[in-house]
Amino acid sequence: MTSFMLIVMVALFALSVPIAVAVAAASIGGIAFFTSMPLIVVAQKLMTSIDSFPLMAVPFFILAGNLMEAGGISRRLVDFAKSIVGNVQGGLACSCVLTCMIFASVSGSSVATTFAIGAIIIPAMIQHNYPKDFAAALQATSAELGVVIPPSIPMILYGVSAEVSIGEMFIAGIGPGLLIGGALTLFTYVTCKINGWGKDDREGNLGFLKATERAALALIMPVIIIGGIYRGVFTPTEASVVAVFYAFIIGMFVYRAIGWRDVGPILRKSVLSSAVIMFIIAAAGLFSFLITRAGVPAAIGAWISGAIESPWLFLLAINLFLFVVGMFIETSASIIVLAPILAPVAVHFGIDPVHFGIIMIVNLALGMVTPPFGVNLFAACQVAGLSLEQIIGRLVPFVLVILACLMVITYVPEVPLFFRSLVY
Amino acid sequence: MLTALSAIERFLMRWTMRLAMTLLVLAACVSLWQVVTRFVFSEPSTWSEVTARSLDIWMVYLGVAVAFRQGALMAVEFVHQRLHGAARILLVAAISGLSLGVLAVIAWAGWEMAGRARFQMLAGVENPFTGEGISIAMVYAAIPVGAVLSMVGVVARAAEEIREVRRTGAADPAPQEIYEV
Repeated sequence: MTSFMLIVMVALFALSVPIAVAVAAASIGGIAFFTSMPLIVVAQKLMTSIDSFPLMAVPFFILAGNLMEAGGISRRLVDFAKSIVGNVQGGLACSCVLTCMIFASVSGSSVATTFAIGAIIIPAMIQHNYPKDFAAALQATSAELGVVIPPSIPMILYGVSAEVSIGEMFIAGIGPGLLIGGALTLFTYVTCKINGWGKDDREGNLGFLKATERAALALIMPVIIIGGIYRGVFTPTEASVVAVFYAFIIGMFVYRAIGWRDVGPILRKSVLSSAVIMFIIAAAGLFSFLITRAGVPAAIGAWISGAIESPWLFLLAINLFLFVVGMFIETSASIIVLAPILAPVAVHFGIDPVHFGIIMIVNLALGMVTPPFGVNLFAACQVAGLSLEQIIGRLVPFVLVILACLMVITYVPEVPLFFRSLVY
Repeated sequence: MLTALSAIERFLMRWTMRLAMTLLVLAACVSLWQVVTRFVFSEPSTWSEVTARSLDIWMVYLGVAVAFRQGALMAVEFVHQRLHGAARILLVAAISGLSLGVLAVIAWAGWEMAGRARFQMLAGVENPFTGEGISIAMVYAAIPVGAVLSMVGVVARAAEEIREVRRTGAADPAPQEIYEV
């Protein structure tokens, strides 16, 4: 039954059938041909898989992200970042990374990060004579931080699918986020030095105090959200609700960047994004119920551990596999489908499921930057007015930087787990 | 005839979307109420969590219908983007046919499930008008309703896409907006 379901699913993916439909079709086929279960179980699983309080954070973080994208906080965050790292050669490029890190700590989505920050920083970099393709490649890559630094929608999805604490996932994202942010900043700084870009980046920066004051309301947000989750005050879902209303009030009444007229399109986009993801979760819930019942994760675990002996090799193989998957399938969808299968196998190898989740997310999020289907890449190209081919050359070194970080995160478990050990 | 059908379909999808948007706002407000009662009044409300979850489920299944209509569902578009003319029409017809089949099963199973669950009550909420419990069937109903609306969406979308392909060869009426997170 399992091989039938897997083959049907992958074949349907390849034929461009929507992921949720492919997963549901494979499951329905599996039930009808190989079990005596009544088909009514389809409806039961489609409901119970999404009837969960933790999962409600997904639509709320999506809505909060869309509100923040429109709410005028990105310009203030860019000014704030520039006042910190902007006063050296290449400072504007470095502040792109820092702004993405700050925005990531209020938003759980890397696409929202690309649009919110890219719309401001890419034109600014072009104005300061940086090459367009460099600006777009830098923005697309830095936006990966959107899902690595908490809060993060993919982490919620992993937490729910692999039955791991979402709070622990969030905290484990901090170390890797700082590592990737640091590595990208260093790489950007050195590249700008070598190529002589960004010599006049100092001009027009606000002073640190002034910039902090202007961005204060936006900077309080991560304190509320992340601080609340760490101290155990909020659950991630409660934090996501607070984020929605905070973003709405700031954007609408304080910064006045959102009007009543904008609310409709923001809601519409949020409903569509949420429905698309939640429908995949629902279908994947049915799918994983069937394969878990058939004992597949244990069988795959036994098979892999027969073929591969050391956890070291297992992680390498998994990373290669995820890198290829990430190129073709969207991050959230792959996490929902793969986490319930792979996480038990990782545990079998003695790998902490939180550590494994971070590896999956960093790796699959890289898929949003790698062609042929990189949503961040499309978004950054759209903002910069470039075609995909024009940016590839510049992108390669950035991808290599993230891959190097991924290797560190994979083989030095302390990077993700250090902060968790402080809190839990 | 076709114009009338397409007008009905547009009306249906517009109101499905409006309803889903309202449900998202309601779910957010109810969840905020939950946070407020827990932190400000230290007396967490008992009905809000299950209500928010139920609103959320309805929002999702109504939203899915519009997502089918807009072609917003995530897919690996590689093959789809590379086919032209008759091959493209064949692929669109095949994908739509499969989607219709899957949605029909979902609609039927959802209907059956709602029927079986009609005497089970949601814990913690009661009907504010009658004081009686609310049946879980009310939540399950989201699945058949959403699935039937989705079938309308699939047919309308397929008709639109096939018309486009006939007219231009390959043009894709896919939305320019990006819905991934």
